Amino acid sequence: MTAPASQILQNRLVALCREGADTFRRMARSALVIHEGQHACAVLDANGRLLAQEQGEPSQLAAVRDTVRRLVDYFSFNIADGDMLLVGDPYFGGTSGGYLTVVRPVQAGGDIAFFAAVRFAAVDLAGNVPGLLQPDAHEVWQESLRVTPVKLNRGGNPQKDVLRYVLRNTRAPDCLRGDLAAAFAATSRVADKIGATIDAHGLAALTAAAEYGIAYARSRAIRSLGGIAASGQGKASLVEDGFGAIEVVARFEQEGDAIRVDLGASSPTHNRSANLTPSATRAAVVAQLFAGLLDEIVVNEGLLDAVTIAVGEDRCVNPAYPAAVSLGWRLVAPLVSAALAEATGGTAVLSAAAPTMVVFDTVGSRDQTEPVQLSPAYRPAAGAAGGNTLDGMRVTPSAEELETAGTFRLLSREFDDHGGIVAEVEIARDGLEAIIPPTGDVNRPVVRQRRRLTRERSNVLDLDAGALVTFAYARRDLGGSDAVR
Amino acid sequence: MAVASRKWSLGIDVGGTFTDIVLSGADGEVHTTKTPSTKDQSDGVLAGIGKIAGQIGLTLASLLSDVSIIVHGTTVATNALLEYRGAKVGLITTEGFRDELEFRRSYKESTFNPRLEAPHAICPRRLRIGVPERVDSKGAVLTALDETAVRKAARFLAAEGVQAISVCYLFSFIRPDHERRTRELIEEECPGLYVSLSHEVLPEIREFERVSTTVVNAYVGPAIKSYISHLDDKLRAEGFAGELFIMQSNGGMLTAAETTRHAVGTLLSGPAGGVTAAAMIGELAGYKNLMTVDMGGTSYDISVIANLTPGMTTESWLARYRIALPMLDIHTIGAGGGSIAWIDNGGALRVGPESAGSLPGPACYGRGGTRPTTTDVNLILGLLNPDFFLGGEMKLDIKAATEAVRVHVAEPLGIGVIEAAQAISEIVNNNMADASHLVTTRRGLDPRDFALVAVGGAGALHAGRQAELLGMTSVLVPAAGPVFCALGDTVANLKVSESRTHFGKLATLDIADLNARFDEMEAVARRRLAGQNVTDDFELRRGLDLRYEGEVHELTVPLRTRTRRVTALNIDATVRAFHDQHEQLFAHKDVNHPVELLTLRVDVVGVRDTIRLCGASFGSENAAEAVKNTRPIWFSGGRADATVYDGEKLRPGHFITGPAAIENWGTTIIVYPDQEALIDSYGNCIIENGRAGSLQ
Repeated sequence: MTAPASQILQNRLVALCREGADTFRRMARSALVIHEGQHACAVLDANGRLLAQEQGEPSQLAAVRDTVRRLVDYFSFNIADGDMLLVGDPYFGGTSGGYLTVVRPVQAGGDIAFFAAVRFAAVDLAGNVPGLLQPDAHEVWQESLRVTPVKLNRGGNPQKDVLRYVLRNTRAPDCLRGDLAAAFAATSRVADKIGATIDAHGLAALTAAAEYGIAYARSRAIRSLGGIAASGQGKASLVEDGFGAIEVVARFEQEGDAIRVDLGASSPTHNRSANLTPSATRAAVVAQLFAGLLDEIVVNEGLLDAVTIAVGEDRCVNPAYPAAVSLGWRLVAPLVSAALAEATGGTAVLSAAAPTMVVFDTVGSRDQTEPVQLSPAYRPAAGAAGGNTLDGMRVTPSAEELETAGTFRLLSREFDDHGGIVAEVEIARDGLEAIIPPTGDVNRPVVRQRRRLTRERSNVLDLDAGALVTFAYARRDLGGSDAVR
Repeated sequence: MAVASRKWSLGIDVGGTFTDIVLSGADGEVHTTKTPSTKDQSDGVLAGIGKIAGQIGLTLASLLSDVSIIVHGTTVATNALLEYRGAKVGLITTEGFRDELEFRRSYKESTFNPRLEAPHAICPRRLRIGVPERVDSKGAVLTALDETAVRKAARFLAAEGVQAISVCYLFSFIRPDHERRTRELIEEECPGLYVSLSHEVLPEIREFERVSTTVVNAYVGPAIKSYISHLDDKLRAEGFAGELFIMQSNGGMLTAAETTRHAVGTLLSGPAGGVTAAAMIGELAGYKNLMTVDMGGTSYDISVIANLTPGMTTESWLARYRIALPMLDIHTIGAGGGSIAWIDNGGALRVGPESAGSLPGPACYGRGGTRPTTTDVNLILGLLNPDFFLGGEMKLDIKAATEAVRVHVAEPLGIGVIEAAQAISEIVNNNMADASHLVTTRRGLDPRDFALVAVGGAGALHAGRQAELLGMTSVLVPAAGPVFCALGDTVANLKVSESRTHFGKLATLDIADLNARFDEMEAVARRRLAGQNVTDDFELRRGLDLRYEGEVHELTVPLRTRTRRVTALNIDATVRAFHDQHEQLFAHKDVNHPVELLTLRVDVVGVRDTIRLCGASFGSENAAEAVKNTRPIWFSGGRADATVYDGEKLRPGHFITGPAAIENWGTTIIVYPDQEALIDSYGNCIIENGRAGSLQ
């Protein structure tokens, strides 16, 4: 196979991932998928090596690979044509509770040759409070149901008891059923097309193309760091109300083709949910080091493994089981980015998270409740389009759609005098509760209502109709350097 | 039933390089010509009409006096937006929401780049003014319109020198009173300004989509208004007494007067003619499902026509601004004859999106270009004849092309020039095929069910290979390829697309209320079609935007009725069609899941008598009389000697076996190995692909 021929077939894999992600996003019900971009679609080889991936936001960069790799080990030879695997566990290659990965094997010549996978954020999957952000959790079980590896389909036959079990553990079963159906459809479409590509070109050619793609991505990744210092160290920290101090220390070294990032001197495992799983830590490192490259090349094994990451034991970047992790991406990932930026002399790519409020029907008042992760604007930067890279392809809600849905009325949303954005939202009906997750170094939303704002069940706020919530989005500072790494 | 009585119709398409003219007579007589485009597009238009008049022995004035209608595809609005040369625009909006246009719902074209540059501000912040007013989602006035504030804003904007004012208030699509009153106040304070109201431009929910479309309308409106008025004056001065129509982005045409009010509807005015022509030519050739590909110097445009109905979208972006009007869905990638091949710093071969354009152009043009392009590669591989480019008007320099490929691709990759050229060609072909594949599969369609219509200067060079890669059976290269968009202009129908957001659960829909809303929309659409004498034959097409409750993405589903009234049975049938369409698109349906309504749509189409192209009888299959010579061509499977035909000498019925090259003035058609070509009654070249059925 010539290099251009391999390149063409590798591009075919990329196009399949794009098509799968597009299909899933259009079918999905969850606002976390549609508006927040919390999904990915990937093609992997029989060993769980990532060959191509399309994702809506950066926290997913390494999670599909890390999850499927563990799945291959877990099921060993017990994966057959027609199986549909499901897993959702932060301690099984994941990033946070409530993220589910659906995987379908693709056979060639009687053996498993590839996997097609879709990963997405469920709108709710048990946990202490509705939604996926669990500021009060100390342990993983308080955050979500841990979906250990199961087969949703076995040899093409749906395992209804498994599906029923999962849907009984969400407060929004209709929404999750829709998202799972979308994930099935998208995964199947990609798997079928991988099969067609094998039929047209042969397994050997596709395998050679995959190897070419991996080598190419690794080469581009390493070259992209050519202009920066061989080594450096950086630190970033924050002190969050109720969460104490968190610090990330990054040491960066490169020698030839070897690039090493050591985060082992970072704070120990956080006693609440400000922890990054190793997969999420890798995503933050890759996003920071290769942001300038990620629009040009496909995310695959070559890119993910271009850098060796040491995370130490029992650290906030590699927490000791069973620590909670749901706020790791919002609180710790920006610190990883900032520390690495300092170490490499670049600009932090992941800025502190936007102020957010999770609103839901008063617990126990309805059979089903779909929590809304409300954040009506984004953190702008002078002269730049869109928001924080931390949020990926997130789109802000339409004021008219919000109001028509009957829960919120957006009263204003404009730039403030400092280049940030201020938005004010009125709560349009009674019977709502909310939590306000911490935001790092950005203001939290401020709630004003006539009745005293009470905190039911730890940090759950009891909202009244007419309550006003002000969201202030500080401007992102991109620094003076153009060097984004 | 056509009402027009004069003899001739003119279709005119102004492109970047040429202005194309098609003159068609009521008896099926068709004449075509091309003339260089001019800075003032009307100069080229008049020159072109004069040229075609000369072809049939008339003067400009005598021809124009006998022309009943002119349909014009123009790039005035497109260029104004793409080059950011539109009007100075102000915006009056609901207080507290003046920055929605700039926020763009936080959309960005790159997931990872934190400093992606913001788009050029076509309405900068100081010209965006919020005024007190507020209507809620039920249409109740929460805050009355502050007329003093509106007057003050209008005066300020006028003093700033704006040429147009756009107005967009929250929920104006439900209650437009405030916007209407604002227009009155603006006209009182600063008469003569172009005013664009959001509820008229796009009466649909989602304020960013509406404000963006409305501001773009104001931005391009004065330019369109001025151009049409200027052109109309010139035509009338030369004796034109018929009607002037402008092609619209929805594939229809509208009167010049109506176009000036909805200028944003002309953003795809140019390419729209091509899609319309493809549907007509495809139907004549017996195809209902067509994929049109237009390959020019810098881009490759793909559009899909399923069951003779062009695909539409409301999700367009142009010049990084959101245009939410229903428009023909034309997908563009950066692959054209001028696309440059290069080696990236990982050693991979890339082609495009950078283009050599027409100046310096490909290396083989001999205008100073040194970097290898797709055109250079086509020359090296033998697909192009160096002595017959533009009918021999321009000689191509094969040595320069070879040198460019050798230096920039072959040597860095350590391969020979031919191998490098083949690699570049295959990458271009596969990029185009991948894009075409996505365009169809995104709609739940299979490209193998489509015939490929290839237009543009380079389209027919690559079409045969596209058919191979996509598993398609047939390729159709229209005889009118060089003036294809102008041909489409001559056959376009009048068309107005109206929409209204109207929420409701289908299970509890008030049918009487629905009918009243449709009646109102139809009345508006018919008013927009008034003032023309081309047709009194109107078709009403209704549609509903539906989605499963809880879904965000809606599907537009045709609502078919036997009578003027919509009945409950019609709604049931539409819901069934929705489930089927959902399954076709997403491989999933849930007939038990509640369906909700988001938007009502009405198209009123004024049907014209189309031109009757005169088909010729088939003659002999033997095309030997058209053979010029043979030349070697390098295909993906290797070198083969191809028979070269003079396209001018080919006649209906001629049958050609690949490999072959058919040379015409503006294009060369390549018939690949295992393909056969037939010249049909209308002079179109129809290629059958022997390798159809499987995706490669």
